[in-house]
Amino acid sequence: LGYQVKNAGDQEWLELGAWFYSFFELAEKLYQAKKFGHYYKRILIALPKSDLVSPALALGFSRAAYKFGDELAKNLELGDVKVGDLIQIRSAWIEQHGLATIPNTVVGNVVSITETPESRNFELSFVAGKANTQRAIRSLDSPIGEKNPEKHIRIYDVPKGTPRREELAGKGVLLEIRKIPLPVSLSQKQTWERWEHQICPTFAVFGQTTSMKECGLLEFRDPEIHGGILTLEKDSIYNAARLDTLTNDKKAHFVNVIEQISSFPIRNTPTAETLGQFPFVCLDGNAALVNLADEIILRDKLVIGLWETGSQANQEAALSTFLETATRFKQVTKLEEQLNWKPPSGVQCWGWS
Amino acid sequence: MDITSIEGRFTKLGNLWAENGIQVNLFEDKSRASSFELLTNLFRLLDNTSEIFDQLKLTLSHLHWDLRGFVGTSKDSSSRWGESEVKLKTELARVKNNLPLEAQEIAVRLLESLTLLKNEDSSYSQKLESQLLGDDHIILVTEKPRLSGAVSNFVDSLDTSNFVSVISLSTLVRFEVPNGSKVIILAAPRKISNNFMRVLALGAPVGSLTFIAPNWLAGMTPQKITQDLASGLPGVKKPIMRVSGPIFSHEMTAKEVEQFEETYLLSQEQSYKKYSSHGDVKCRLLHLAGGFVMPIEIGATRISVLAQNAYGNLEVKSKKPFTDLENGDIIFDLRNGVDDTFLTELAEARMGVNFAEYSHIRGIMKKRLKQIIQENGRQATIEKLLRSKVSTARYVDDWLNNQDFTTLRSKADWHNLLVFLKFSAAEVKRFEDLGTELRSTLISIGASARLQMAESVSARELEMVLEGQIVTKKLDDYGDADFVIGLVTGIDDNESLCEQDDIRKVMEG
Repeated sequence: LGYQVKNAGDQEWLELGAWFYSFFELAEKLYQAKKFGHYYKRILIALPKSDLVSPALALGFSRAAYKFGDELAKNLELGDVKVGDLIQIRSAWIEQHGLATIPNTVVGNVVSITETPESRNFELSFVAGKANTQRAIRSLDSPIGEKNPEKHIRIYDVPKGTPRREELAGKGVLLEIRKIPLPVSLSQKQTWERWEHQICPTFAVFGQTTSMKECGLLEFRDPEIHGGILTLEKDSIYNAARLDTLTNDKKAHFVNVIEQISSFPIRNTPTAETLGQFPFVCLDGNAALVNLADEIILRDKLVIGLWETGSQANQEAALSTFLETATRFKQVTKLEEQLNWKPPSGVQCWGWS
Repeated sequence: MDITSIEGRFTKLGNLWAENGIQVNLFEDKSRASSFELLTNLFRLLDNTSEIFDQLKLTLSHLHWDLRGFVGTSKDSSSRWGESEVKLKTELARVKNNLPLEAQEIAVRLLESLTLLKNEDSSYSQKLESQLLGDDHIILVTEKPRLSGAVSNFVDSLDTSNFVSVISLSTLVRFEVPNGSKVIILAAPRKISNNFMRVLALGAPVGSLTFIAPNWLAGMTPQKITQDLASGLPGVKKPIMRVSGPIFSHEMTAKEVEQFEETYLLSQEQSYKKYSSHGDVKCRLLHLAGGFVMPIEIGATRISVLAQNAYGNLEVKSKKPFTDLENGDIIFDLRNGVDDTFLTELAEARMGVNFAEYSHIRGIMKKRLKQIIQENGRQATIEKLLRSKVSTARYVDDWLNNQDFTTLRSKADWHNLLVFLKFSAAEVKRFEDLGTELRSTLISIGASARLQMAESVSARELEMVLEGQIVTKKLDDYGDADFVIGLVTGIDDNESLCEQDDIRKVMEG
């Protein structure tokens, strides 16, 4: 199937077994099922260890979100921005030193607008405790109608919960801005933007982030995405899965996130609002199941529990906590058949809708 | 990141579920079957409401484990059953007046059966020996850690050319079994706890495994996994086991013994040891919320604390206990000293052949030290050691009695001790290297436990700790070991005393 991984620095690529593709595929099937109106609520997967499984699911969700082209950021003309809007301002591409920098973005709530004949100045607010800032945009830089990514600033209306932050690193903001080698054609830039700027919150994972981030650092080759769409030879799993963190948003896209168990959002906070946008949540490992399976915020989401039967601790507590909420829904008798999905040998799964 | 290990885990799972992934080799052992039946009958007749039988029950419980899984040389075997006989006799004499007549009669027959075992008990060892041929690396797995020593001695007594490791079941389910190893579990499948069987059948630490068990222990349907692997979930699939050997004619159970163990041992585990100022190790007491204390060794330079970073994520930080630690800091550690054994077993599993070599030299070291004490007396030996610049010589008893002894903390002391014990320069160097490897493996295991701790604490648990409660946690990769997380409420300025084993253990204040 052509999915290969390796540690950065290793010479040899390793072709991953069918199990990896299986989880990748499960995510795509679940995304697809949701699109067609199948609302699964809980899925429990019994597997030896969850290492690389939630990243595989994230890869599948990332690809599905891209392939379906679901985009929640809506174009907004400079003149249409109103106080109260949550907007994303996206800069133009910069090309220098042989590299093209993918446009950076600022996301904030518009709290006031001042206008001049040539420009509009937005006062943007971010999270509590962070000072408001001003962004002045000239009509010249953001003309009405179709805009050219190579020279125009674009403004988008983004859904509530989209992480608010400035476009510049520093003062507690850690941004990761991608650069790709030149030449990059206009159509390639548009493809890259659809990938790197997609606003389509999909899959949130809670678990042991160190291990997930370690998996994320692996170099990865997906023939379809890397070979066919982005024309990259390889990428990290973290980038390919379009992962970010809930508490510290670093990337322009808003697709998949991972977070520590202890950072599960408290209700009525901005982070809870952000998590509210994700239809799929993964509780990765027994500790996550024990601690989070009964969280009220998860009530209406599709929660995928990765029950690590290869780890002796917390097995029964993890299962019983998960079942407490899962059994409030109706059990799906033939989940695998319904999804047309075959789990890896020895791996079992159960579903509720 | 070890990608092949992750890949391997799913391959192992697939192999285990294939035909012949799990095999059960049964054998007859009429002598032990008879003893076991008598034991369970006697146990059933003991009054459940009276504590007077608790010690007897404990003795029977140990005996029950030996009958299930003890394998030893004929000398060890004779001595084990002899000891059991004496111990049982003593316990029976103590409660004789409270024993019903029927129980007394069975007890006499049980003692007789132990005498027979003392003279002849070779079925298990013969069966095991027949399985140790042909494979380069064999891992023998005992149900309980206390059975491992005798099995190791037995294997050592055989003239096998292959490398045999002996570990307990709790270690098997936690470590990565090297490819190509043959894993033999000395137990009947149905006797494995739900938790362990779930790990074996669904978690696949190994790609194939063999159970060896006397047929009386394996029941009448040994091919079936009877454990509830996923309580509350319908339609759980289980792998099929292939059975060879004679199947027993009737069911024998030991429910009463197992239930007693569960309740009695659980009540023992749940209590914290009470701190008393007995002992000769100087320490300072760290006070924790809830009235607990943790003795910290004088000269300690680091202690791990959990702290929240700017984004609310938990991180592990290191602090100097006597200068930087503050009230309100959150510390964590293993709950009690018994759990140290599991750390050593994990290290053993990770070090493989090197641990076997280390263990061999450690045996020689202890033997030589004991010999010197026998010849010169304890005090004279300590004085000699001190003259040989082993400054911590007064702890000589701890070195000898601690089953999990690693090395002396001071490198100079360690070197001087080995020289004192007349190891050659090359041997000293090798033992120092192996000791260093063991210590760094233990440190690495501890470090990964700390990281896992930071990532498995929930916001609710953190809140409980901040409210002054002690929270105990199990970590996914550390089996049954309990870790405690507690809030620091004070650090004594004055020195106290404690036992060596009490250092860094949470205790009742």
